[in-house]
Amino acid sequence: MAERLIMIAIDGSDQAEKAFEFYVDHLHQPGNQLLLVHAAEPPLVSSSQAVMLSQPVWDQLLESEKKKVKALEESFADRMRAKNLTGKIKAIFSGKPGEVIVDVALEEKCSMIVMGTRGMGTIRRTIMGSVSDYVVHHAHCPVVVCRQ
Amino acid sequence: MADNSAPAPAAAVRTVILAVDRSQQAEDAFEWYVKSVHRPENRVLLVHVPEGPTLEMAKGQRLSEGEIQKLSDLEKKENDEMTAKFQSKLNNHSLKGEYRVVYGKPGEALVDAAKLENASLIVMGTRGMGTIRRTIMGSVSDYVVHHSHVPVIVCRH
Repeated sequence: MAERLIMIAIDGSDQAEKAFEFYVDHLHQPGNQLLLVHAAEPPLVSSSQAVMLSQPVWDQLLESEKKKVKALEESFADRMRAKNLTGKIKAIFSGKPGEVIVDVALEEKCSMIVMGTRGMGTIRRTIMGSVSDYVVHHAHCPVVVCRQ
Repeated sequence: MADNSAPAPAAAVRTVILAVDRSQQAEDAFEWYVKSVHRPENRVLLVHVPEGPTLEMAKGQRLSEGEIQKLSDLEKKENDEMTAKFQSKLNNHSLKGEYRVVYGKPGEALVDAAKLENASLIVMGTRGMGTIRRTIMGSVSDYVVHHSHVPVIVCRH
Protein backbone atom coordinates (compact mmCIF):
# COMPACT_ATOMS: atom_id res chain seq x y z
CA MET A 1 0.00 0.00 0.00
CA ALA A 2 1.45 3.32 -1.04
CA GLU A 3 2.14 5.55 1.92
CA ARG A 4 0.72 8.94 1.27
CA LEU A 5 1.44 12.16 3.10
CA ILE A 6 -1.65 14.33 3.37
CA MET A 7 -1.33 17.97 4.32
CA ILE A 8 -4.08 19.58 6.32
CA ALA A 9 -3.77 23.34 6.72
CA ILE A 10 -4.90 24.44 10.15
CA ASP A 11 -5.34 27.78 11.85
CA GLY A 12 -7.56 28.45 14.82
CA SER A 13 -10.75 28.53 12.81
CA ASP A 14 -13.82 26.33 12.88
CA GLN A 15 -13.48 25.92 9.13
CA ALA A 16 -10.09 24.27 9.50
CA GLU A 17 -11.51 21.92 12.11
CA LYS A 18 -14.35 21.03 9.78
CA ALA A 19 -11.87 20.45 6.95
CA PHE A 20 -9.96 18.07 9.24
CA GLU A 21 -13.19 16.26 10.18
CA PHE A 22 -14.22 16.00 6.54
CA TYR A 23 -10.87 14.47 5.65
CA VAL A 24 -11.12 11.89 8.42
CA ASP A 25 -14.73 11.06 7.70
CA HIS A 26 -14.72 11.02 3.89
CA LEU A 27 -11.23 10.87 2.46
CA HIS A 28 -8.84 9.08 4.78
CA GLN A 29 -7.32 5.84 3.55
CA PRO A 30 -5.42 3.41 5.79
CA GLY A 31 -1.72 4.03 5.45
CA ASN A 32 -2.11 7.77 4.94
CA GLN A 33 0.16 9.90 7.12
CA LEU A 34 -0.88 13.40 8.12
CA LEU A 35 1.09 16.60 8.10
CA LEU A 36 -0.80 19.35 9.85
CA VAL A 37 0.58 22.72 8.90
CA HIS A 38 -0.20 25.75 10.91
CA ALA A 39 0.74 28.59 8.60
CA ALA A 40 0.09 31.29 11.10
CA GLU A 41 0.22 35.00 10.60
CA PRO A 42 2.56 36.80 13.01
CA PRO A 43 0.84 38.72 15.83
CA LEU A 44 -1.75 41.11 14.50
CA VAL A 45 -0.24 44.46 15.12
CA SER A 46 0.07 47.15 12.52
CA SER A 47 3.61 48.33 11.92
CA SER A 48 2.82 51.77 13.27
CA GLN A 49 1.60 50.25 16.50
CA ALA A 50 4.56 47.90 16.61
CA VAL A 51 6.96 50.81 16.65
CA MET A 52 5.20 52.10 19.74
CA LEU A 53 5.33 48.83 21.62
CA SER A 54 8.06 48.37 24.13
CA GLN A 55 10.12 45.23 23.97
CA PRO A 56 8.45 43.57 26.99
CA VAL A 57 4.97 44.18 25.56
CA TRP A 58 6.01 42.76 22.20
CA ASP A 59 7.56 39.76 23.89
CA GLN A 60 4.39 39.20 25.85
CA LEU A 61 2.30 39.37 22.68
CA LEU A 62 4.56 36.83 21.01
CA GLU A 63 4.39 34.58 24.06
CA SER A 64 0.61 34.61 24.14
CA GLU A 65 0.49 33.83 20.41
CA LYS A 66 2.87 30.94 20.93
CA LYS A 67 0.68 29.64 23.74
CA LYS A 68 -2.38 29.74 21.49
CA VAL A 69 -0.52 27.86 18.81
CA LYS A 70 0.65 25.25 21.30
CA ALA A 71 -2.91 24.78 22.56
CA LEU A 72 -4.18 24.40 19.01
CA GLU A 73 -1.52 21.87 18.19
CA GLU A 74 -2.28 19.86 21.31
CA SER A 75 -5.97 19.77 20.52
CA PHE A 76 -5.27 18.43 17.03
CA ALA A 77 -2.73 15.96 18.41
CA ASP A 78 -5.45 14.67 20.74
CA ARG A 79 -7.89 14.32 17.87
CA MET A 80 -5.40 12.43 15.80
CA ARG A 81 -4.68 10.04 18.64
CA ALA A 82 -8.42 9.55 19.21
CA LYS A 83 -8.92 8.58 15.58
CA ASN A 84 -5.76 6.49 15.37
CA LEU A 85 -4.11 8.74 12.85
CA THR A 86 -0.37 9.14 12.54
CA GLY A 87 1.38 12.29 11.57
CA LYS A 88 3.11 15.43 12.65
CA ILE A 89 2.30 19.07 13.17
CA LYS A 90 4.39 21.96 11.91
CA ALA A 91 3.92 25.60 12.78
CA ILE A 92 5.42 28.21 10.49
CA PHE A 93 5.19 31.88 11.29
CA SER A 94 7.11 33.52 8.53
CA GLY A 95 5.80 34.02 5.07
CA LYS A 96 2.40 34.33 3.48
CA PRO A 97 0.17 31.39 4.43
CA GLY A 98 -0.63 30.49 0.81
CA GLU A 99 3.01 30.34 -0.17
CA VAL A 100 3.95 28.44 2.98
CA ILE A 101 1.30 25.81 2.31
CA VAL A 102 2.32 25.37 -1.33
CA ASP A 103 6.07 25.32 -0.58
CA VAL A 104 5.87 22.89 2.32
CA ALA A 105 3.57 20.57 0.36
CA LEU A 106 6.14 20.46 -2.43
CA GLU A 107 9.14 20.00 -0.12
CA GLU A 108 7.47 17.26 1.88
CA LYS A 109 6.06 15.61 -1.26
CA CYS A 110 2.48 15.70 -0.04
CA SER A 111 0.01 13.94 -2.26
CA MET A 112 -2.94 16.11 -1.32
CA ILE A 113 -3.72 19.35 0.54
CA VAL A 114 -6.89 19.76 2.61
CA MET A 115 -7.99 23.21 3.69
CA GLY A 116 -10.91 25.47 4.51
CA THR A 117 -11.63 28.75 2.76
CA ARG A 118 -11.81 31.10 5.66
CA GLY A 119 -9.35 31.75 8.40
CA MET A 120 -9.92 33.37 11.74
CA GLY A 121 -11.87 36.16 10.15
CA THR A 122 -9.47 38.90 11.07
CA ILE A 123 -7.42 39.14 7.91
CA ARG A 124 -9.25 40.17 4.77
CA ARG A 125 -7.67 37.68 2.45
CA THR A 126 -8.59 34.81 4.68
CA ILE A 127 -12.19 35.98 4.89
CA MET A 128 -12.39 36.23 1.14
CA GLY A 129 -10.87 32.81 0.57
CA SER A 130 -7.88 34.09 -1.33
CA VAL A 131 -5.44 31.87 0.53
CA SER A 132 -7.34 28.80 -0.70
CA ASP A 133 -7.57 30.36 -4.18
CA TYR A 134 -3.82 30.85 -4.20
CA VAL A 135 -3.18 27.28 -3.12
CA VAL A 136 -5.57 25.83 -5.72
CA HIS A 137 -3.72 27.70 -8.46
CA HIS A 138 -0.19 27.00 -7.31
CA ALA A 139 -0.16 23.62 -5.62
CA HIS A 140 1.61 20.74 -7.34
CA CYS A 141 -0.95 18.25 -6.07
CA PRO A 142 -4.74 17.99 -5.70
CA VAL A 143 -6.34 20.41 -3.26
CA VAL A 144 -9.47 19.70 -1.23
CA VAL A 145 -11.30 22.96 -0.59
CA CYS A 146 -13.84 22.73 2.20
CA ARG A 147 -16.41 25.51 2.35
CA GLN A 148 -18.82 25.28 5.15
CA MET B 1 -16.55 -13.31 20.74
CA ALA B 2 -20.30 -13.81 20.61
CA ASP B 3 -21.69 -15.00 17.32
CA ASN B 4 -23.63 -12.20 15.75
CA SER B 5 -25.91 -13.51 13.05
CA ALA B 6 -27.25 -10.13 12.02
CA PRO B 7 -25.12 -8.59 9.24
CA ALA B 8 -23.26 -5.40 10.11
CA PRO B 9 -25.09 -2.35 8.75
CA ALA B 10 -23.58 -1.14 5.51
CA ALA B 11 -22.09 2.34 5.55
CA ALA B 12 -24.57 4.81 4.13
CA VAL B 13 -24.10 5.34 0.39
CA ARG B 14 -22.35 8.55 -0.44
CA THR B 15 -22.53 10.20 -3.82
CA VAL B 16 -19.39 11.70 -5.32
CA ILE B 17 -19.64 13.85 -8.41
CA LEU B 18 -16.71 13.66 -10.76
CA ALA B 19 -16.70 16.24 -13.54
CA VAL B 20 -15.52 14.68 -16.79
CA ASP B 21 -15.03 15.67 -20.40
CA ARG B 22 -13.08 14.21 -23.30
CA SER B 23 -9.69 15.31 -22.02
CA GLN B 24 -6.87 13.17 -20.72
CA GLN B 25 -6.99 15.31 -17.59
CA ALA B 26 -10.46 14.03 -16.80
CA GLU B 27 -9.28 10.44 -17.13
CA ASP B 28 -6.30 11.21 -14.91
CA ALA B 29 -8.56 12.80 -12.30
CA PHE B 30 -10.78 9.72 -12.40
CA GLU B 31 -7.84 7.35 -11.90
CA TRP B 32 -6.48 9.54 -9.12
CA TYR B 33 -9.87 9.54 -7.41
CA VAL B 34 -10.13 5.77 -7.52
CA LYS B 35 -6.58 5.27 -6.22
CA SER B 36 -6.45 7.97 -3.57
CA VAL B 37 -9.85 8.81 -2.21
CA HIS B 38 -12.55 6.34 -3.24
CA ARG B 39 -14.37 4.33 -0.61
CA PRO B 40 -16.47 1.24 -1.33
CA GLU B 41 -19.67 2.90 -0.12
CA ASN B 42 -19.28 5.78 -2.60
CA ARG B 43 -21.49 6.01 -5.63
CA VAL B 44 -19.65 7.83 -8.40
CA LEU B 45 -21.59 10.09 -10.72
CA LEU B 46 -19.53 11.06 -13.73
CA VAL B 47 -21.00 14.30 -14.97
CA HIS B 48 -20.27 15.72 -18.39
CA VAL B 49 -21.43 19.22 -19.24
CA PRO B 50 -20.98 19.60 -23.01
CA GLU B 51 -19.66 22.93 -24.13
CA GLY B 52 -21.50 23.15 -27.40
CA PRO B 53 -22.54 23.76 -29.91
CA THR B 54 -25.26 21.45 -28.70
CA LEU B 55 -28.75 20.68 -29.81
CA GLU B 56 -29.99 22.04 -26.51
CA MET B 57 -28.34 25.40 -27.18
CA ALA B 58 -29.73 25.44 -30.69
CA LYS B 59 -33.32 25.28 -29.49
CA GLY B 60 -35.21 28.29 -30.68
CA GLN B 61 -32.70 28.99 -33.40
CA ARG B 62 -33.76 28.50 -36.95
CA LEU B 63 -31.58 25.68 -38.11
CA SER B 64 -32.32 23.67 -41.22
CA GLU B 65 -33.33 20.04 -40.94
CA GLY B 66 -29.90 19.05 -42.20
CA GLU B 67 -28.07 21.13 -39.61
CA ILE B 68 -30.22 19.77 -36.83
CA GLN B 69 -29.58 16.24 -37.97
CA LYS B 70 -25.82 16.82 -38.15
CA LEU B 71 -25.71 18.30 -34.65
CA SER B 72 -27.84 15.50 -33.31
CA ASP B 73 -25.68 12.82 -34.91
CA LEU B 74 -22.48 14.41 -33.61
CA GLU B 75 -23.87 14.61 -30.12
CA LYS B 76 -25.10 11.08 -30.17
CA LYS B 77 -21.68 9.88 -31.33
CA GLU B 78 -19.85 11.78 -28.61
CA ASN B 79 -22.33 10.68 -26.01
CA ASP B 80 -22.05 7.04 -27.00
CA GLU B 81 -18.26 7.17 -26.96
CA MET B 82 -18.05 8.78 -23.58
CA THR B 83 -20.72 6.58 -22.06
CA ALA B 84 -18.87 3.50 -23.26
CA LYS B 85 -15.50 4.78 -22.09
CA PHE B 86 -16.58 5.76 -18.64
CA GLN B 87 -18.94 2.86 -18.08
CA SER B 88 -16.08 0.50 -18.81
CA LYS B 89 -13.86 2.40 -16.37
CA LEU B 90 -16.54 2.08 -13.71
CA ASN B 91 -16.81 -1.64 -14.41
CA ASN B 92 -13.05 -2.18 -14.43
CA HIS B 93 -12.80 -0.73 -10.95
CA SER B 94 -16.06 -2.31 -9.77
CA LEU B 95 -17.53 1.05 -8.86
CA LYS B 96 -21.15 1.83 -8.16
CA GLY B 97 -22.14 4.71 -10.39
CA GLU B 98 -22.98 6.00 -13.80
CA TYR B 99 -22.05 8.46 -16.50
CA ARG B 100 -24.46 11.31 -17.12
CA VAL B 101 -24.74 14.32 -19.42
CA VAL B 102 -26.07 17.55 -17.97
CA TYR B 103 -26.73 20.70 -19.96
CA GLY B 104 -26.08 24.26 -18.90
CA LYS B 105 -23.19 26.48 -17.91
CA PRO B 106 -20.54 24.01 -16.70
CA GLY B 107 -19.95 25.52 -13.25
CA GLU B 108 -23.61 26.00 -12.45
CA ALA B 109 -24.60 22.62 -13.83
CA LEU B 110 -22.06 20.86 -11.62
CA VAL B 111 -23.09 22.72 -8.49
CA ASP B 112 -26.77 22.05 -9.23
CA ALA B 113 -26.13 18.36 -9.92
CA ALA B 114 -24.36 18.07 -6.57
CA LYS B 115 -27.37 19.59 -4.81
CA LEU B 116 -29.86 17.46 -6.69
CA GLU B 117 -27.99 14.23 -6.01
CA ASN B 118 -27.18 15.12 -2.41
CA ALA B 119 -23.51 14.63 -3.21
CA SER B 120 -20.95 14.82 -0.44
CA LEU B 121 -18.04 15.76 -2.68
CA ILE B 122 -17.16 17.15 -6.12
CA VAL B 123 -13.96 16.15 -7.89
CA MET B 124 -12.71 18.04 -10.93
CA GLY B 125 -9.66 18.95 -12.97
CA THR B 126 -8.60 22.49 -13.74
CA ARG B 127 -8.74 22.50 -17.50
CA GLY B 128 -11.22 21.19 -19.97
CA MET B 129 -10.75 20.50 -23.63
CA GLY B 130 -8.92 23.76 -24.02
CA THR B 131 -11.30 24.92 -26.71
CA ILE B 132 -13.28 27.25 -24.54
CA ARG B 133 -11.21 29.99 -22.95
CA ARG B 134 -12.75 29.95 -19.53
CA THR B 135 -11.97 26.32 -19.07
CA ILE B 136 -8.33 26.93 -19.99
CA MET B 137 -8.06 29.46 -17.23
CA GLY B 138 -9.62 27.14 -14.69
CA SER B 139 -12.53 29.38 -14.04
CA VAL B 140 -15.03 26.56 -14.12
CA SER B 141 -13.17 25.04 -11.17
CA ASP B 142 -13.01 28.50 -9.57
CA TYR B 143 -16.76 28.87 -9.95
CA VAL B 144 -17.43 25.46 -8.46
CA VAL B 145 -15.05 26.05 -5.54
CA HIS B 146 -16.81 29.33 -4.73
CA HIS B 147 -20.37 28.12 -5.11
CA SER B 148 -20.40 24.50 -4.12
CA HIS B 149 -22.19 23.66 -0.91
CA VAL B 150 -19.91 20.65 -0.40
CA PRO B 151 -16.12 20.23 -0.47
CA VAL B 152 -14.43 20.29 -3.86
CA ILE B 153 -11.24 18.52 -4.85
CA VAL B 154 -9.39 20.39 -7.59
CA CYS B 155 -6.95 18.03 -9.27
CA ARG B 156 -3.80 19.49 -10.70
CA HIS B 157 -1.30 17.16 -12.25
